[in-house]
Amino acid sequence: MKFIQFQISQKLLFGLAAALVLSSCNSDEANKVKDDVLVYCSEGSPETFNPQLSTSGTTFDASSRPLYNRLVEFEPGSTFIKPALATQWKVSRSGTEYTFYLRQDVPFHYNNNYKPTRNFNADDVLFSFNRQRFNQHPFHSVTPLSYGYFVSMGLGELIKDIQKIDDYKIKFILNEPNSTFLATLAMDFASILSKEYADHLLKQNQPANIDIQPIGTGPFQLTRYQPDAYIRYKAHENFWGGQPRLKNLVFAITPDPSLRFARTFAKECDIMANPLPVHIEVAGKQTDLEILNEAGLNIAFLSLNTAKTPFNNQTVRIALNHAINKQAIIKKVYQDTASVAKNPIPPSMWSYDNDVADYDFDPERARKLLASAGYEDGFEMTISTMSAQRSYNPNAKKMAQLIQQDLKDVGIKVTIDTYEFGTFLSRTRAGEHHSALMGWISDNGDPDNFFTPLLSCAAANMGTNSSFWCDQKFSNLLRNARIKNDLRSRQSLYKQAQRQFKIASPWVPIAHATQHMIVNPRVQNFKIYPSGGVYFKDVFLSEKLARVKAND
Amino acid sequence: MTSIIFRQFLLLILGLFTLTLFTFGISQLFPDPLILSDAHAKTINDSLIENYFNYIAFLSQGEWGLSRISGRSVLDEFFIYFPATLELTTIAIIFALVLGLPLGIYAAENKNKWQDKLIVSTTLIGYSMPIFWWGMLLVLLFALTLGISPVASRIGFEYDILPVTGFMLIDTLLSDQPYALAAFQNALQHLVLPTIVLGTIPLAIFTRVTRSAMIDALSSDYIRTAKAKGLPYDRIIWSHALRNAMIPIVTVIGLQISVLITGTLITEKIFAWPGIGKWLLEAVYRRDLVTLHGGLLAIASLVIIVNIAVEVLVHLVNPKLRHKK
Repeated sequence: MKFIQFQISQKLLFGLAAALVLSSCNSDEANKVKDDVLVYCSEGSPETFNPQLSTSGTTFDASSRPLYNRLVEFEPGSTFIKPALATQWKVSRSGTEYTFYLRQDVPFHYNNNYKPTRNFNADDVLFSFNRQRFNQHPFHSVTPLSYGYFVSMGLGELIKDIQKIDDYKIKFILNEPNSTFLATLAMDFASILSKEYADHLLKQNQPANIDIQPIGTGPFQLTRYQPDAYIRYKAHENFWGGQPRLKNLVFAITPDPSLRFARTFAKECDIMANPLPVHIEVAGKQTDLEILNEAGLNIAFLSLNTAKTPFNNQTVRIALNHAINKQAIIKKVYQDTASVAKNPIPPSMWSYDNDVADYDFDPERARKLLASAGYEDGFEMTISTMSAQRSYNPNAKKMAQLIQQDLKDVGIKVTIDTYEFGTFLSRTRAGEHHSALMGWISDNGDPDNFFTPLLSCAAANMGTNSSFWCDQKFSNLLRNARIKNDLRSRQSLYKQAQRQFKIASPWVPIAHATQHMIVNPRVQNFKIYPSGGVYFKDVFLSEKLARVKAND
Repeated sequence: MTSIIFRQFLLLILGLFTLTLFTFGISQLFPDPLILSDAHAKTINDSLIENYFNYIAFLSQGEWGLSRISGRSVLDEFFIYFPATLELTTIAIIFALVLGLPLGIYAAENKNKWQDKLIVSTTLIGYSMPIFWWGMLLVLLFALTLGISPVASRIGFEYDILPVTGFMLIDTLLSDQPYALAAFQNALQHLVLPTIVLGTIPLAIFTRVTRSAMIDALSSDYIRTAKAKGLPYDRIIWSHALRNAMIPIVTVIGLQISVLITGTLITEKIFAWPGIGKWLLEAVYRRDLVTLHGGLLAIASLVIIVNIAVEVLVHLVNPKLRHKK
């Protein structure tokens, strides 16, 4: 009888084991589903689906790149400008009037709540820019986020008027010539939203949905989003640039890098964003994973809030530059996959000034400078960092700890505060930080894209200039460089700017990181670009490879 | 009987009252006042007592404030994330019961033999194991080395399942996609490792409690009588011994709820499970105090309610208590 009892629990065990085995076989059905979906393991949730309201690459990857188009766009990976929603454009001799001729056959996305009745036209362009230009525009404040780029680049002052000439012709009139204007229009924040959709939402009294359930013209349309879990897209079959080759695209939001790697290693993800150096080492030994590298147009830096003491003192800021051992950071945080930064722009950017001398790592000197500024006993400071990992900074917390050690040696007591990415951005924008480990990735390959949003006075008002350092002369210099049309004089102005930056030292520039991605070989045609950003329009999955992998 | 239910009901009210006193006290430490709705903001004044009663009034109307990050109602968000947690917790309890009861009975039958010693020592290990370590070990072995289990989350990303009930096993079956069945199977696979991780400690506890309760029951007089009467062994075990042993077991199940909730926080973190554990951890990172307040209140109320429900259940199961006047 006892034997029977034993059999019962044995049966149960067998049953469970059988269920496990059964459920772990791969059916053909499951394989077929996998063939149609590319899974990208991304590093964080987007702040919004409206690129006008963000300056973060994570948000652009999820919004402007798959969902929207601009009037003109960059050839991915270069600063060459190609036609997009505008087929051609004319610039007046004065350099202040840009006329765009619009593409006529561009359909918008649709969702359960909205079906467009017309294609893209000049009204949509007018709507997209006026929303950012005018405070009283009905859509200006529907989402409690700010128009980071539009304001920091001074477009409100630059653009005098935008005139609709007819449905497919629109004219931008500027207050002064601007050599970067076309490149500006190619940036993510200049994406074109649908006016008809906006009107529709206004009628339903849900205007904020325009940024939550986006309708664009891009190659993919949003189907479902669960914050901190996933974003699902499907191909926009009527995309004006030809149907995308992927049927479905999923962003698996995985802020934890080890989990992101585990998912990629187990082939649950096809592409892994921002692997840690240790992951690259492991993946390198794995023959069926590919590693893509590209020197990035980026910078990681310690931004010192010059609106607060003691960072309003230039000598203190220079002392900090002497006190931090960047070489050690490159070794311990980047595992030697980055180069030391001394200027606000990366070395591969044109106009980079290699003659600028960096402040040596010299704690003795730092102590003397601090003493001369009246801080012989040091002071207390806080470094804000983000918990998320970025392509320019694989581990901000570790970097902060190394800096903490270095600064302890010169008598400065450092407290580290770590925040989630969105909170971190809103706090630094509001100037609540004392100092912060920040970073920047180029959007358009132009030096102005580093200087103006990060160091100009306009950007200080806006908060993208996280050091709140505002030198009117420096801002004027940047403005002059923007107006000039010939490369050589722009180059000499930017070199001047780099020297002035070094003297004022509102930051401690730390590193320029190499970008990496780990990719499943079934993914075809995927590239990483110096300016960062992921593009899936021309990517496809090779089915045969996928099948072999799944049956392994 | 009714008096018992009434007494437990009073206990529930008292428990919830103490809880709100506690959460209200904590909310006084927030840098900004805790605002549950626009109407609530208008009622805030200098009188703490008045504020407290207004606070309770708004809470009971379902006004739990808006998340500072997503702008959605905290209570709505709770119900978005809760099904995932409930699904995992339920399956983990079932797992622990289905394995724990027979194992405990088997150990009791073989008291002091090697089978019993093996079970007792294994459960001791299971009981004292740090579950984050256990979880990572299982992922490393079954997902990364052997590749027979998924790494994390509720379902493979290739499956697009419309959240209707929030319970993935049900939603996959409700789905009108052609791959609904494959998706269901996939969701099951995703449940295996989290269930084992979350269920390990309750399994160890259930086994041990069942074992000792069964040993007590088997050595009692009525079992000897039943044996003497020549009842079949099966009936002795299942309907005489086990029924009496159930009373401590049910009590322990009730106590496990708070252990499970703590375990869920860690398990959800390891497996990127989009439930309340992960939701609250994100809220901590985002300094979203309104969400934290709501989450704390919801989880604590849940624990109180379940504990009291179990207490009532124990009274129903136990004839001694049931007939007590």
